[in-house]
Amino acid sequence: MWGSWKFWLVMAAVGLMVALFTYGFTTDPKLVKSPLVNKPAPAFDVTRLGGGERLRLADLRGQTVVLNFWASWCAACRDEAHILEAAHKRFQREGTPARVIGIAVQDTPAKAMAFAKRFGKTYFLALDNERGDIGLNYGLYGVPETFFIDGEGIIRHKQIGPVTRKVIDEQVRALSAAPGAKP
Amino acid sequence: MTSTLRKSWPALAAAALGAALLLTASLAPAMSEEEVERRLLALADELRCPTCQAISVKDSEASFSVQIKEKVRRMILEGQSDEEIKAYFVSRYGEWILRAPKKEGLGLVLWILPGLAVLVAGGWIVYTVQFSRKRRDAETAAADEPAPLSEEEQERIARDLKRFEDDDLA
Amino acid sequence: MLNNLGYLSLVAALAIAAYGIVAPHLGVRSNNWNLVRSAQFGTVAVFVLVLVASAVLLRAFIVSDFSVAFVWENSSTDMPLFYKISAFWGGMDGSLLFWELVLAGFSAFVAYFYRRTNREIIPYTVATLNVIQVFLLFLLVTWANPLAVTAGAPTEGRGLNPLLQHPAMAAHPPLLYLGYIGFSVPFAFAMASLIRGRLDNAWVVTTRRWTLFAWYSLTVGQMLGGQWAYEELGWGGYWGWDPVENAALMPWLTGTAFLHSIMLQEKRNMMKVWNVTLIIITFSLSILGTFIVRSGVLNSVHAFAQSEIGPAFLIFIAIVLTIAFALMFRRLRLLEARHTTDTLLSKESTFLLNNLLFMGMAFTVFLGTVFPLVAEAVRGTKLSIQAPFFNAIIGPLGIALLALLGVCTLIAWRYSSAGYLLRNFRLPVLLGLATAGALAAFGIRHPGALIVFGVAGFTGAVLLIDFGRTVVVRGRQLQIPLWTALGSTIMRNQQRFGGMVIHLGAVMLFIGLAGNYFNVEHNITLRPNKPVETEGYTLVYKGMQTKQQRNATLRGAEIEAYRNGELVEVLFPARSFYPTQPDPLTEVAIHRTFRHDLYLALASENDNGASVTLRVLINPLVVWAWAAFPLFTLGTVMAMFHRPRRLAEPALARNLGLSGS
Repeated sequence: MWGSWKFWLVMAAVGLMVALFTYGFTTDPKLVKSPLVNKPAPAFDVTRLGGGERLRLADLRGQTVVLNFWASWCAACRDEAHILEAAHKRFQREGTPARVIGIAVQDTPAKAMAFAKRFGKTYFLALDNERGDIGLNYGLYGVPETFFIDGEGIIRHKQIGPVTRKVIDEQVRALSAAPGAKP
Repeated sequence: MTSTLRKSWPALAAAALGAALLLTASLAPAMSEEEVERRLLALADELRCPTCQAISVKDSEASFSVQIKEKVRRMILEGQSDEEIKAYFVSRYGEWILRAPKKEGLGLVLWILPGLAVLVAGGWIVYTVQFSRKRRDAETAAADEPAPLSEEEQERIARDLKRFEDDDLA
Repeated sequence: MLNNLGYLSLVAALAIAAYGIVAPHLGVRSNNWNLVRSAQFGTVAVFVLVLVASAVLLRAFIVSDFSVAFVWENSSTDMPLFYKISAFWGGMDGSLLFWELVLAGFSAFVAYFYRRTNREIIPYTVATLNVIQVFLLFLLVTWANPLAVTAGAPTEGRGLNPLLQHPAMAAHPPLLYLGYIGFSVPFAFAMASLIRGRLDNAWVVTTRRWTLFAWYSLTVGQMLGGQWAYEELGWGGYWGWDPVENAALMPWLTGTAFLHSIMLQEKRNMMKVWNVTLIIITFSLSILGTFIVRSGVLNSVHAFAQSEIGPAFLIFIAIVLTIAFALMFRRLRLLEARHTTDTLLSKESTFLLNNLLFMGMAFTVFLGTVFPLVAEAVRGTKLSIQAPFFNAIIGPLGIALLALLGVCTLIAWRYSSAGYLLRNFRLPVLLGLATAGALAAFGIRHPGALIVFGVAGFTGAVLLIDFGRTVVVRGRQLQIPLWTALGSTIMRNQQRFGGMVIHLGAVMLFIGLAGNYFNVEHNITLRPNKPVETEGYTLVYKGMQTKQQRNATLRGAEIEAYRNGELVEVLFPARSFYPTQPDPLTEVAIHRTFRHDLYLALASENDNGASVTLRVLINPLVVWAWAAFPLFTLGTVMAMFHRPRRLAEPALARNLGLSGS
């Protein structure tokens, strides 16, 4: 039996399968890497929720953008609301060349604003249209998702699920230190 | 004709011509609604619902799927080809959005491996069956050394055969 | 207190099962039959202990004792009793306990009822079954304890996932488990034969009924799963090629191959090595199936949370495969066949081809299921492998199998001359072509469907003509009327008749599957009392209604469906809201006829009922697929009663044209 090449062939097949599944333990099937990373961020053109200011992605050139997709009906978005707000305040205080932008998807202005008020979001918030154009352009398939865009408009990282303070700090530090960032 | 009409007939003629042109343009190779529906359903069946497990955008009523379906419809009406529409979604979501991988590179391995395996295994079975038969034929041929039969033996054989035939299979 | 008793029972069972692994080996080694017998009694004791633990858990469900964490997670006081009971296997810990309960029951049965037959191998069979039980009991006693205590003293539970509160879903897991566990018995016998070196056909003949029973359970379990998906998930289909569905399909495919190739071993002493390989693969796939469902390595509908159970299962599978194949290769010489296939034009060849096709399908399903992992490991990208891939490959293989079924039934053992083939195949082939031709004349043009219907016609004709001829010959020979001949033939050829009935069921299933080629779908918005015509039906929306159904609130649209001016049915496509779940479930409405299902799903209610949007599907021939179920049941029951004759008899019986297929 030990000398039989057929036996070792079978064992090799078994070993391959076990190795494959062991690898499977290290990956999360729900986390899909975005093809937009290291590609230019799709443009958007939105009006501030609650009226007024118009914002295009191009206007944010030179700054690191923390683009967060959320919704009032999304439970996990509650967890990250204060983290994003705190980051926004921190950037203002320390003069970091970074902006937090929040785009609500599949939502209504009234519900979105109520959520924003309840969780104290004061940074720039806008609403994706009913067709979901911006979300589709960004390959959105759930909320919350956060994109980190550098000063030249290239997406450098996509966070699926609620964002943490650690991730924001890491990404913003890395991207703001890159050439092209202006204060 | 009244003087008003005489003055305004060029404008009327232009308007009529414009209307005729518009009508012709709308009748020209635009897709019928059936064609649009057909392409929409076919494309929607090739894209997976990103928030569901095993079903297509076509079969799903999830909000993201509905939005994708509407986007596909708009892209069809804009005149984009099936390949362009699929390429758009792959560029935003990744190859993961397609329900079956493209038939190139690693995807090609997936598509041809099963058929190949069946053919190879089938070929091996045929080979072993024929090979074992050839081997047995060769063995029996080698073992065959028929000596000529004597008259008595021939007669006995004939008698036995006749008895066998008469006996039937009862 | 009672719950502690249950847990202690499991611990005690674990200890005795461990003893039951060692004792038989020692007993045989030292020629001490008492030791072996003590292990056999121990196996019965294990069953009793596991039964006690199960009863404790069941009681906790019935009285809604939420101090048991598992009951809290899967039950709530407002659930009907039926679902409180089915919640037992509604979560991982409970389903593992259920698995162990059935395995313990089967092991006790084997240990007790086979204690006099198969004397040489029964000790090792018992030992092998105990190995599997030790694995399960170990999990139950450590990470998957179904009797673990809840923190705090909750008075209400989380409730069973509403998706599972459906009769088909209640029966689906137990039936699948009966199938998986059923295959453990032939596996254990095979291992015992290898260990002992006793490699005749005893293990195959003894376990034939177990194999048939396991096959039937898996078949029905999957059909129920399909029925549930069709009625509950609401997307209009019954099979989605989801990894968990595939996990049950793979052992079914190899198990069906095994069911056929052991006949070859029984009758012609062939395929011994292959049969051992096949049962090892089938058993491993049934464990692998559970691994895929529980481990979280692949995305699937079942969506059980990731747990530590995954690695344990993977290690167990690796060990089982290694030891089993090592044993097989050690005895390879003793297993080599004495006979081999003579020619390609023989029934033996068709059996080989049958195995080839089933293994091809199993390989395809396996490849498609694990390929996302391969792609990620090799290229770092995620891929989705869904229905389009599977249908494209499995479809042709399935049609080939359907045709093969017809060919195999008619062709003779050992050798068939060309003349024989021509004579016997002429009529069925003509009938098959006629079927396809007639349907084409009626307007069906889809090539794939025509092929399926044509082949189905051919195979159906073969099955019926072949059996019919047997009845006629018997009637003529014994000078009895045809009815009596029919009854007599059935009684004397239970296996053959049972097989024919099951195969007819398979033909029906293929016809039902072919209906998918013609599925039609429309999204229709309806306003109150404004009829809309679609696909031969006129639908009238009468208004929205809210109903209470046990623990769910249903909100749906009342739709009157008319055909040819007559009201055929009032349908109620709805959404159901359960108090414990945030999202509603789809409740589809189906009007079923022999030709098709009119399938309505509520897509959206607009402006509080001012209009309603429905997904309207026409799914042809669905009922034909479900009709396979009674045929499978009848055929299995008949075949179970068959007593295998000694090899000498079939030859004589065949000459009389009575039996032996």
